[in-house]
This record gives sequence, C-alpha cells and structure tokens, in this order.
Amino acid sequence: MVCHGKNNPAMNLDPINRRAALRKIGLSALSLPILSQTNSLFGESSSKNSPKQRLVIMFSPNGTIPDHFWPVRIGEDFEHKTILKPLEPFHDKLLILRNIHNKVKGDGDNHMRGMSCLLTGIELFPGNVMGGGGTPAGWPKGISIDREISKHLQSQEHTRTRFGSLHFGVGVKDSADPWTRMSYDGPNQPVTPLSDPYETHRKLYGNIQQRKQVHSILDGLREDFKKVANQLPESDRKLLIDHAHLVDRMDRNFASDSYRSALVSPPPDLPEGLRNQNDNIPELGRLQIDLLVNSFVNDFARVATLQYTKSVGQAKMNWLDIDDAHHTLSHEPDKNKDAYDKLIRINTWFAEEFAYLLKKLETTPEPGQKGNMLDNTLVVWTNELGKGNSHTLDHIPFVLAGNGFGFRMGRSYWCGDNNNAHNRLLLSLAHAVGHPLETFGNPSLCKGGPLDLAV
Amino acid sequence: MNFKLHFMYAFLVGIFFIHRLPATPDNIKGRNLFIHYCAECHGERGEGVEDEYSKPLIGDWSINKLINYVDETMPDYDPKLVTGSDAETISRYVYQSFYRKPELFSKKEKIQLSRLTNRQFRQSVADLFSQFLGQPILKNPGNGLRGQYFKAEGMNKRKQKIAERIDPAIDFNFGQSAPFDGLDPQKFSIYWEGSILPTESGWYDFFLQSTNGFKFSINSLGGSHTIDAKVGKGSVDEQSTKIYLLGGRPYPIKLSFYKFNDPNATIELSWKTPLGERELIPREYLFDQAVAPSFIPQENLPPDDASHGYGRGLRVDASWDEAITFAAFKAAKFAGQMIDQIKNDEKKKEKVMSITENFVQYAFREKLTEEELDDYVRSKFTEGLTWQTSVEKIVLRTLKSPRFLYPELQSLIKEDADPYVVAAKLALYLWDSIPGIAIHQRIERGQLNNPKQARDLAKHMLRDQRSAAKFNDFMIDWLDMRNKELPALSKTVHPGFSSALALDLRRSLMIWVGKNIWKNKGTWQSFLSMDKIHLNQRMADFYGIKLPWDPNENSFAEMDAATLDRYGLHTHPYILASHSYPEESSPIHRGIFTSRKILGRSLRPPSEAFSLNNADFDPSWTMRQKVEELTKSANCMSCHDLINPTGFVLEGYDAAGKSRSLILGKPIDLKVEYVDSTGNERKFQDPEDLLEHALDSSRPSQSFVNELFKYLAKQSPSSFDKVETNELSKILKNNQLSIPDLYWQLGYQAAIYGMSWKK
Repeated sequence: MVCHGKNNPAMNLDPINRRAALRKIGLSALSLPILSQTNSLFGESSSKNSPKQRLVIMFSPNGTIPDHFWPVRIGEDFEHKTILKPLEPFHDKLLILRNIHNKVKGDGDNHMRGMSCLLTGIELFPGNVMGGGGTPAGWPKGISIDREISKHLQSQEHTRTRFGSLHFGVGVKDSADPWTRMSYDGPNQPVTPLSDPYETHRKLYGNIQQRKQVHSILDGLREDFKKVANQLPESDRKLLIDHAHLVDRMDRNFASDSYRSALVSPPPDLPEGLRNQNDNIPELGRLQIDLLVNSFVNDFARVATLQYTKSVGQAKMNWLDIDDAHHTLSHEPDKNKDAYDKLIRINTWFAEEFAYLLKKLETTPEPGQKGNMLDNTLVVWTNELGKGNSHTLDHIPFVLAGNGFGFRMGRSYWCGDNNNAHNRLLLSLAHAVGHPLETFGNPSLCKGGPLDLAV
Repeated sequence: MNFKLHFMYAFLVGIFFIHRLPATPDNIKGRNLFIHYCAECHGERGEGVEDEYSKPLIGDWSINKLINYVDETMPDYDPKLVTGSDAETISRYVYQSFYRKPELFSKKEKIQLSRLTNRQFRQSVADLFSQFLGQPILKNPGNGLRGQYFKAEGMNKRKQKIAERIDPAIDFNFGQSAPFDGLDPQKFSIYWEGSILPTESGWYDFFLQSTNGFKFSINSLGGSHTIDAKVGKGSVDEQSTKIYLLGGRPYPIKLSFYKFNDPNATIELSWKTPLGERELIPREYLFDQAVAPSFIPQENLPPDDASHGYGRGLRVDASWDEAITFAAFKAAKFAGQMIDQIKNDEKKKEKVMSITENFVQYAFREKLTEEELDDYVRSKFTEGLTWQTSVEKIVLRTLKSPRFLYPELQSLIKEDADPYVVAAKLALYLWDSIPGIAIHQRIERGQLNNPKQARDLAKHMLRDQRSAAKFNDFMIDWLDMRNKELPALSKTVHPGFSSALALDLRRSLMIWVGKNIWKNKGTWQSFLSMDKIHLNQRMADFYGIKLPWDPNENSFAEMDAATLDRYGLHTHPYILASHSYPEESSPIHRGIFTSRKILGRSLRPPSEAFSLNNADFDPSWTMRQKVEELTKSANCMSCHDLINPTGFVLEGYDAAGKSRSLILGKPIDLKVEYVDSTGNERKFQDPEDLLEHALDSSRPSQSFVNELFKYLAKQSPSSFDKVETNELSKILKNNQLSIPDLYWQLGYQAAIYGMSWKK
C-alpha cells in the first residue's frame, strides 16, 4: 500500500512525463496510418519476382439482354454483339462462358440469391429479409471466392500483400442487406465495399488528400496570424508565433512528403468535392478503377471487386439520357421497345467501363517485370441475373478477360457437361491460383470439379 | 556611524519597508538569522530559490506550529543549528513579515493569451454547428424512449402502427409471442426513438444485442455511428459503436427492430460510459423527445496542461496542431455535406452565402467588416468550384484561424467595452463555448451596452444547460474524480461492493450536485452539510437501508442523509470509498481531501515518498495506530498534524463507507485534536464537529470560490484583481448567495473585467 508517490490517488501524475509520452504517441496523427505500415509494405515487394496472379471481379446488376449480349458462335471466331462491342479490341484476351447457371436454391428471392450466392455458391440462412418473392432469408452460409483466394494468397509469404483484397463500390447505397453485398468472409460475415473514392484514397495512401486540401488554405491562415499578432502587445505574441511556426511546419511536411517517394506509382489525384451521388457514377467509377489499378501497381492487394450499385440497383443513367431507374426498367417486358433499347444501352455502358478497366491494365507495365498488368490479371465481369424481366438465375453472364490465370483466352466457351452450376467456375478460379479445393460452396453443386478452362 | 552601517541600515529599512514591519531589535535579529541560516534555500525575502525551496515561504500554520517546526527540522541540512530562542526569533520574524502575506509574492499576472482547451474546442465546434442544425434542448425529465409497434408485411416493415408507449429500458425477450395484441407474433417491427443525455464527456460504447434484425444510430450525421444489422443472423448477434460525447447535451437515438419469421424476438441496448462499466442504459438518461444531432469532433486531442489543477490552453505543439487540423478537416467535410443538402434552386446562392457568413462570424465571435467577409467568404465562391468545395475551404480556414482558436484575442486588443468581446467572454467562462444566434441578435438590438445588460445576460445564460454541464465538469475536478477509476474494493473483505455499486455511488453524488446544488440553487451550508442523499435499490441493500418505495434498480430517490449516518459532504460513501485502500479505510487520503476541500487548508506535496505497508505493523493495530506510527517524525507531522486528525475523525466509516462502531473488536477512537489556521486548538468528536467548524470558518468558501474562478476563466485570479472573490466568498459563507448565483457572478465579473464602458 502506498501513501505517497505515483500511486497515491490524491496526487496527480507528473504532467510533464505524461505530456511527453502523449506527444510521442500523437506525434503524427496525420501521418500515422502511413508510417506504421511503411516497413512491411515496401520491404517485401522487391523479392516477389515470380509472376503475379491477380483477380478482379466486376459486377453490374439487374440482368442483361441475352440476344444482344451472347455471341452465337462458339469458339475463337465469336462475334461481338451490341453489348459486347466495346470489348472487341480485347478479342484475343476474352473468354465468354456460356451455359453456366447459378443453381443455389433455398431461401431468398432470385435477386438476393443471385447476388449473395454469386461468389459464395452456397445457400442463404433463413432470415428476416423479405424480398419481392420467395421466402425471407438472411446472409449466405459461407465465404465468397474472392475472399477465399485472397486468404490463400495472404497465407503465403511470397504472395502476401498489405491488404490482400480490396473492395470498391460505385454508387452503392448505404444499406447492408443480401442485395447489396457479394463478398463474404464466412457465414454471416458480409464485407462492405468502399464506395467513396475519397475514403478509398485515405485507406490506400493515408491522409495525403486531406493534407493537400489543408495546404490550400495555409496562405490565408498565415495572413491571419500575421494580422492578429501585429495587433497584440509584444508579450502576448509568443504563443501565436509558436503556432505560426506549426503552420510553416505543415507546409514543409507537405512539400517533402517522404511517403510519395516510397511508392512505385504515386497516388492518383482526386478532383475536389466530387459528390458521391447518382449523377457522378461515371466519374466515380473511373476514379475507383484508377485507384484499383494503382493499388495493384503498388502491390497493395492481389484481389479486388468492383461493384456497380447493387442487385435491384436503381441508378438513373442521366449520362445516357435515361431518366428511368435501372431496376424498374429491367422489369419491363421485351416488347416494350423503349425499355428494351435502354437496357441494351445500359449494359453496353457497363461493357465500356469494363473495357476502360482492361485498357488501363493493358497500358500499365508490370512493375519490375516484362509485359503489362493485364498479362497477370484475370478480370471477370458478371451479373446476379441472366435476364432482368424473368429474374432467371440461368445463363449468368460471365465474361473473363486477361491472362493472369492461365486460361485459354480468345474464345467463347459452351459448358456442355452434365453439371453446369457456377460453383465449378468458382472452383476453377481457386485451382488456377494453386489452391486446389475439392469443393466450394454447396458441395453437391461441385460435381465434375473445376471447369477445365486451360485447354 | 560609518558608511557600512549606513548602508546596512538603509538596506534593512528597505527590506522592512517592503514587508511593512517596524525595525525593532527582535525583527532585525530575526532578519539577520534568517539571512544567515535560511536565505540560501528560501531567498532573502522568503521568495524561494530555484532548485532549493522554489515556492514563496507562505502558509496557514499557527505561530506555535511554525516555531516548533523550525526548532525541530530547520535548517534541513543540520536542524541542531537553529533551536530554542533563535528558532522562535526567526519564526516570529518570518510569521510577521511575510508568512501570512501571500499578496507580497503574488505577481500581478497578466491575463494570458491561451488557445481553446479541448473541452472548449469540442463545445465551441458543436455549438457552432448547432446554430444551423438546431440547439438540442430537452423539455421533460428522462423516462425512456418512445416505442412504436408496427405490423410488418414483406418488404414493408412498418405497415400499420398498433401501439405506442414509453419504454424505460430496451431489454426485451418477447419469445414467440407478440408484445401487443393485434400484432402477428411472426411478423412485427418496433421503432424506438428519442434521445440520450450523458452527464459526463468522454468515449461511450453502445452495444446492441439481438436475435433479429435491427438498425441503430446514435447522434448520426450523414450515416455516422450507425449499426445496420437489418439482416438477422438467426442467433444472438452483438454489435457496438463507439462515440465521443460531450456531457450535459442530448443526442438523438433511433432503433428499429424487425422480426420476420424468426423463431424468437429479443433486443437489448446497453452502454459503457467513460467510467468503463457496461450496463443497460438507465431510464434517467433516456428521453422520449427527439432532438437535433450535434457535430462533436471525434478526434483524440492531446491533453491540456493541467499542472495548475485545471486544464489550460497555454501551449501549442505539433500533435495538438495535427489533431485540431484533422478535426477541422472533418468539420469542413460535414459542412460541405450540409450545404449539399440545400435544394438547388435560384435561392441557393443567397442561402449558402448567408449560412457561411454567419458561420464565420459566430466562430470569430464578432461582426466582420465587408472587407473581411470578402476575404473569408465571398472570394472563396469562384468559378469552377462546387458549393461544397468552397464551403469546405471556408470552414477549414475558419476553424484553423487564430480568431477562432484564441477566444480572448479581441479582449486583449480592445480596451473599450465591446459587446461582442463581453459576449465572447461570457460564453467562454460560463459555457466553454461561443455566443450563438440569440446572443448575436441581442447585441444587434443594442442590448449589451452596459454592465447591467451584461449582468442580465449572464443571469440568463446561467439557465442554459451548458452552464449546468460546465459546473458538473468543475465538480468532477473538485470532488477528485477526474481521470480516476471507480473505487475497487476487495471482494472478500467487502462482499457486495461491485463495480456497479461503485458507479451508483458516484452517480448518487453527481445527482445530488445536479439537483440539490445546481437545480435547487443550493447554499454553501447545504453544500458542505449534504443533508440529502440519493439512493437506489442496490445502494440501499448494501448499506442496509429500507427504501420507502419499490423503485426499479437504476432509479435514485432522495432521502435524509442522516438516515444513512451521513454528516457532511466528506461522509458521502463515494468520497469515503474512493479515498480508501482495497481492504481498509485510508485516513491519509480522506484527511487530504477533507483538509483541502472541506476545511480549505493548503497542503504542500511531501518531500519524499513513503509507503504504508501492512506487513510492517503489528496485525492487532488499527489503521489509526499505523498511520500515527508512520507519520510521527517532525518532518511528516508538519502536514500530517493536519491530515491525520481530519482523516481519523472519519474512521467511523469502513473502506466501503459503511458506518461502524468497532474496529478489530475494539470501540473506535474518533476523538481528535485539530489546530485551525489561526492556531486555535479544537477538539472534534465526530464528523459533525468537523463540519460545524468548516461552516464557521471563512477558509473553505474562499478556497472554493478561487477554485471555481480558475476553472471558469482558466486564468489565475490574481490577473483579475477587481473580481471580488473575497467579498463573494463572504456572502457565500453567510448563505446569502447560492452556488449557481456565485457561478454567474464570477463569470460576469471576469467577463467585464478591465473594460471601460462608454456612457
């Protein structure tokens, strides 16, 4: 028992020491997220010289228009119909998978299962979320393939990266439900995509963007300090002068940002004040793609998802002169020519964004190696439904691009096996990164094993 | 007379002139002895010597105690050098010339320029935004949240309202049934809304536990602090969110609950307060009225300089600057979002301009000239920038500006009374905040142009919840609670003294502060004597009191303190338990609290550290015997002759604050001798005697008034020589001024200090 000394409850802690300690801890509140990671991040990457394998899964919602999407010809000389026209320049790097179905049954309406079983291949728990049909359901019972692959890559030293996987959203509304999540860490564990590029930027590069904005007001601030200090009697100026020095310090820190030089590629600049809202979806999407590719260049992650809106997403694509909400349009019967035409334009627009991503990867050299980033990446574009107005889970669009997974590209492929559940595709993705799972998702849907896409 | 003697004489006269003491032979001898033996450490005039005894030689001991102390302990390198009549001569010289004249040493300190303290920063930013979001104000006492019960169908979660009621706590297990007739037990939803009023500032965790779907938000701004768990997981799911809240301010709460074919229906809402105890949120903190959310900076700010016992903003460093910058950045983002919400029509420009101009003026606590408005606001709306971006830049610069961060800047620049300066100081001293719209309007109407109007405003501001919140925060300091964990006693020696009970004790004391002292305008007498105490069921059970009614566990009710054998604030069970060892009472810690706070005596920190180690003592000894033994040396006794009796007189209460009549099977000796500050020896039989003396003495109220002043103004009272702290403490002691009235008087006097008013 102590009656004097530092444990004495009646006495204060030594304020000087406490302050000193806190100063140490708080030393750089702004730069902390960067500094703490620096060592482990950049030290390793140089040793990773074996070819990288990366996976991107891009999602767009509410089904496609099959007649203007699927090539009729199977094989290498498949044709590009309207929706896939923007992908024509990548013909040799494409693999169009046909006749693949999401066969997961059970609770939930087709949108819910379409979305939440798309990458998990497993049923939803019974739950309290009631859709437009079917029975109420909850979250899926298992992990999604993107997270599974990332976990595998993170488990090995030579493929480990800072984040493992990154999840980008574009116009994803702030609501956590099975229509809005496609990545899962396990049963009942949805992963939330980052849908604000500013937040993404902060996650990837720390507070650089903030500092830039702060930097833009420093001149005005210095004026304030000067003006105010001049009005004060000499004896009162000291604190203000100390403070003004801190302003200068911030300025200098900004100029000599050591973090930037440690990156393989500097972070993309974000425009100021871009609102996270419907009308900005095109621009937001491009920013997210730029950030995605930059995060790959800096080897922050090997797996990424890019989710445009959500299942039942209601984006109004004003930039295509379409005022109707996407999901509402997708319910219109085929004979509604206007709606039909708009849906073709919407899906074509998504193909253009997909092409932008491919182009960006293709024109970015692989750091430290020969070739470009698309050579080492597989990009998958998919959808939760085969067709909007029928809500079918058959013939789910799967467009694969890039040479990262050793698949034979430059063709359309018809899955003629007995079992054409999409679980087999998910299995092939795992096998391609050296993770030979026997089953993924619901085991009974894995019969036949992975699709052999290499030959 | 030779030259040397002349010089000596002149020198001594000079000294005596300074100390206003006649140059009698005794005084001259005392003076010479002092210079010879003492000045090396205490300075020639008792002013102190850096690295030796650095403080002025002043105190409140009686002359006899001083003689005795000098005789036995001084000079500390060889106490035998000064004894007997020399010790007496020196002591009398010291006593008469400066020991009792602290004013000789108080340098007239200038009012120091200081930045906002952390509390002031958070409070000011929150109130700044509240000018536009709405000031959250509650009308009725806390009683629970408003629950609305709905039928649910498919995606329509709130199809038809069946019932509505006030739910005192969110802790339900409906099992397989419905909470109301007319609801389908399989499919229903509940929507609770209202607000929560935490009393203390700090980090709060909110925990939601449910087997079903729910969505919760606390003080949500643009989706922050929201838990979206609408999708039920079929089993118990717990989620939490952490948030910094300012005490004394209500925040909106929303909780939706969905059952849809789930096997059962349960939900629980609990919290962990900054004191760390997780519990169901007690009904007193929940209100059925929804209020506007507040923008509270969530950044961790490095602690303020507290070396003078209260937080002050006397230093700026890089970690503070970065934390403030980040907070300002977040605030700017939020302001941008707010602006974005304004409808985009032809009036938008006008609205955005007017909002941002006002924002800057409220932040700077003054009216800006046209030129300044151009500089800070209008020039920022340039081609090519969105409204949002311009507003972000304006807010960022405003919150980083010295004109916001140094609230007393204008008062140091302007000498003539300026209504904006007066209002800024009143808001700072009484609320730790800024003047809002209402005060700005008052100024514009010409209603803050003389001291009387300033007085009226101060009185008016006293009624605002922010005054109550600041007083509450002061009491946390004064009652020795700041940064202190709840008392944790030994479970074997004090069974039943749980952490929940410890929290109850603290709440009991703070409820009394809020209600009996603040709301009911308690006098000094009612404050020190604490004749009422608030008890809940758990406290009543522990202290063996039967409550005259049947309350729910968390409700407190007021009783006569005497029912619980309480005689004065120093006998509140929280004070006793928080100044105890885990197993036994601690007369030393209790004595320090009682001497300083209840009796207003000054104590200096001990020169070396000592431990009281039970193993060193005969186990049959009482704590009183152990402490007497440990502190018997003359050096210790210089303070412990004050600490020990004021602690021993509380030995009738054990570590948990339970009253007792035996220790180790023997009757307790409560009788003590106490030498008051004028040297009179007094005998106390029990805590009531001590209280009686405290109420009779002028020191306690003086010390309280000084402490309160320092806390309000964050400046030394010596910088404000026209503030009548002595006068006020006299009126306070005579119970002619309530404590809340003292509060506004101090704030008011400090606010108009040094201003010349135009006729």
